[in-house]
Amino acid sequence: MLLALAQAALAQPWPAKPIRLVAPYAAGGPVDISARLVAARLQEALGQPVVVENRPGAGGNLGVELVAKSPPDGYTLVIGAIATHAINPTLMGSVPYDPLRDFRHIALLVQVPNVLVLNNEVPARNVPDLVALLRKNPGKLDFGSGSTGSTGHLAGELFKQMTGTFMVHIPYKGSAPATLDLIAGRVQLMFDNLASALPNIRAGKVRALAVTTLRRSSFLPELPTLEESGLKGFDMTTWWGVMAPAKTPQAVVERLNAEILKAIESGDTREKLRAMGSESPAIRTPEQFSAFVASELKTYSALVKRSGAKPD
Amino acid sequence: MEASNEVLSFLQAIYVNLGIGFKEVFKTQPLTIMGFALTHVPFNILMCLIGVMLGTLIGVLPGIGPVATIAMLLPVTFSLSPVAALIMLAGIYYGAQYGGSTSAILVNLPGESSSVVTCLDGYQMARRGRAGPALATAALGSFFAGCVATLIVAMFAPPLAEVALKFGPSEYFSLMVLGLVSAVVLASGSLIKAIAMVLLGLLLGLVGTDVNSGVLRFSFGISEMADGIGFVTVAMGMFGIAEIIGNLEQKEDREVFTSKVSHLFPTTTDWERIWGPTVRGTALGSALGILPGGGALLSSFGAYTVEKKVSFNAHEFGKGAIEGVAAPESANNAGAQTSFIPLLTLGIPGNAVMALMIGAMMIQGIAPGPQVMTERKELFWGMIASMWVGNLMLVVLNLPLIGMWIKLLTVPYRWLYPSILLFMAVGVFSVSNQPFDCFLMSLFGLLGYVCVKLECEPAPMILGFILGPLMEENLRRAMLLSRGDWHVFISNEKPISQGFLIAAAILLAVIALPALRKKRDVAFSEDGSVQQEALAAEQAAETPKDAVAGFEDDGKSTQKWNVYRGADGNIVAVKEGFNVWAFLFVGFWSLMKDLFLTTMAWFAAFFALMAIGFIWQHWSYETFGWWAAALWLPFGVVYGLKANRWLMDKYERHHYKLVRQVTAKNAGIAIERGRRLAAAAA
Repeated sequence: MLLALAQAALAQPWPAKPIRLVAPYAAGGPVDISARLVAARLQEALGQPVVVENRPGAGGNLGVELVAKSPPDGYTLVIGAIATHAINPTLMGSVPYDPLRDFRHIALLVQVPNVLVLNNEVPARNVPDLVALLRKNPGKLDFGSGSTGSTGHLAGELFKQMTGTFMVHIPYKGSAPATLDLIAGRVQLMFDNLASALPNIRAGKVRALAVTTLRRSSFLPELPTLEESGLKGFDMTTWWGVMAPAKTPQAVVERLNAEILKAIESGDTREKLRAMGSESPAIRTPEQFSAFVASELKTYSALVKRSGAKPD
Repeated sequence: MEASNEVLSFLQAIYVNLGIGFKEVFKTQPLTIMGFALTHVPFNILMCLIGVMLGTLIGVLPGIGPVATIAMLLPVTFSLSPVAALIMLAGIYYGAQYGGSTSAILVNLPGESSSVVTCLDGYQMARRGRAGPALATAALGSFFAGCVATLIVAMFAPPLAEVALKFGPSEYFSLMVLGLVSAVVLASGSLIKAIAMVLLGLLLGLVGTDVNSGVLRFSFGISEMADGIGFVTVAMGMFGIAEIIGNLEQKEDREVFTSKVSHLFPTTTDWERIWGPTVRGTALGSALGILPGGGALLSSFGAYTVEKKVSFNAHEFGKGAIEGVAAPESANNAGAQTSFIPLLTLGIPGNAVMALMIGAMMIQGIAPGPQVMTERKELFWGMIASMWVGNLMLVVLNLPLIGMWIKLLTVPYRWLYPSILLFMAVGVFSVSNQPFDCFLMSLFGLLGYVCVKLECEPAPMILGFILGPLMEENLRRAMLLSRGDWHVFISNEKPISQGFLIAAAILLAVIALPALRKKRDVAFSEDGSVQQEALAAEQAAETPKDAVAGFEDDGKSTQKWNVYRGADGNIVAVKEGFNVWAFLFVGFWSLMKDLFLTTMAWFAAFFALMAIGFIWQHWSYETFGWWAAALWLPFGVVYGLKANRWLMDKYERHHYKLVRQVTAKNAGIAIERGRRLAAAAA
């Protein structure tokens, strides 16, 4: 039946009616903002309204599930993120959708590195210092994160594994209260999203040690990567992009991919996405994006299992 | 001299900065509207006006909150200048705080968590035909609070941000404990029922994902409940729907309260009653608003609780006491303003609206954080100046609107209630776009109706519901950080946490001690007539001889007390002689006792002396102590000597009658003996 619907929709040139773009997180967050930025551009390019609809809940799963079960006619899109498509399937045991088979991955919008930040009182100037400090005081230091199973948490767990050290994870409800406790020194370190950590790094309220990506960030070019600091192969990026239900017609997927890439590369939108800490993604075609999601899913399911973050 | 220059340059800096701010707000720019090219358009002021109008509107509509509105308007702000965008969004936020009280007062619908408390007495005032004074009180109280809090933000934002940093998990937990305990102590009806409702609220707050382990609790496999139950859903159901069911049940006197609207503005008596609550509410709201996460929520509950404790009209609370509107409304508006402090100075959002403001700033290419204040002076101070202008606009907008809102009450109920239901459904849906929440709201409506029938108040439940998850989160975080050591809450390294817990323990003792509890019952029980009956029953049971059994004069104490009895059966005791509290706390003492003239006299003297000090430039940090002592001592002596007389005068003005003079060890015994003697004599 879905196929019949899709073909009926194809009978008229797409898009013939308003498109809805589901943002599975609360309004005002980075996912929502980037969705609204891109929606405004798409609207101009496609000649049809593109309406952003916030469907927060269950770590983003609610909105993603909704779209996975929508007709694949190109009129319902979703912002899929590292949480919904790589972490949650293992973290939550099961999710009501298949992150690979239920979706056409259209275009990657944003890739933001995490950055390892320290409270100013911690006597470590670089990563080897920190590792030595952790070795000397096992279990004495704490790291905060926005929630259990967030990239900040998993980065910390990966760091512990690769360095063979131990520190305690303190989960918060969002990265803002965690940052507050980091500045106040109640937790000593944090793997925070670059965009939210940057102002405090520049103001000297916290000390940055390294970024979690393989490449250095253009925002803090003097800051080394964790790989350069001796953690071979440490690579974590928070990402999200536009996806559609599986079986969305190829022509629609291609058109959307082209328009979205044009949108995120146009001067104004690009600047605004950059303000959120995002570098221009290297992934361009839907196929590359699918392959990327598949590899991320594999990486994180292994990491979540090893980290013990998974609730029993 | 150096230090005095420091003070002067501090004031000068604020003066210069506010100048930058107001200049930014009143800036004009060329603009083309529909083909008309205008050269001087005060664009920022215009945005401020649009913001506050929009805010008022969505505040009045039940359920549609500032979060949904700001989210929808975010794309509009892409094309505005950063200052204009933030001024408009901030206007929506505090405009909604104003508007929220309107629906709370008129139709018992709290649109925002802060207006839950306004419902308690605001709606009762409306039922007694006093919706006008209630609305005016809310508007004027909010205006006063807004002005004071804006001044506080302008003067003390950076040092106050440090206060926010001092609040860690253990401090938050202890603050919440204090909040919950005070909710129970001062609930108006039965104590047991209040505790039960708080516990019910705590349990409901547990629904959702556990922060520490990510496990789902009480979600029954419903993924819509994975993030817990929304506040708006619960409040709309428990207050709004329950009220509608209750109204529809009574056929006759449903529309009565619309007909007896007497006047729109507060009377002279009202003015005398609202100034104190407004000042105290503002102080409490400004203090708690600084704390991100739950601080601002507590302020309106806290302000109401304080008023119930200190007010002369405590027996009227829950039945339409104007103090019960003035205090929480001032507190929530003050809190709304000071919650900008952590945002502007640390880049830490205190609530969902502040998180949206961060989003708006990021779109504009401004990284919210400590450097905004120094690098973007025009933005920071422009926003602060706009808050003051916006508050003025709100009061000018809202006072004339009161007449119109009152007219709304004359709409026949058969038209009114379906529209209210519709708006509630829209509002609840707009929070998360889930139809499930509307069903949940209906369920809570039924629960609310059952609670009304069982005479259980929903307000303690709401407080438990809000505080429960925060308490749990902070308790577990504190325990994680301390590696399971419970001393983190009471150790000397945590004086703030320690202080809150001690205060909570004292409050608990107040419930536990029988003599004091008697006092609580007399002072705070809701129904005066019940007390009259109780007194009459006592009178019948006791002969004068053993009337004071257990409370006889022990012959040892020499402290004399004047026992007064109010028209409503409330009994108070005023000491003879020197009042140490008044001596120590002077103006603050009279503020807590609602003594207008003496409070004003003290504050006026304080500010006059400060002004003289600045003009002569003799004031420095070294000599400040001497000046303060010089001011304090003569005032303190006069206040200490006269305080009890002032109190007695105040009681007499409020038609309290002197029962007799007794000697007793403490106020509790004096009151009890006075009460029994009064009963025996009558």
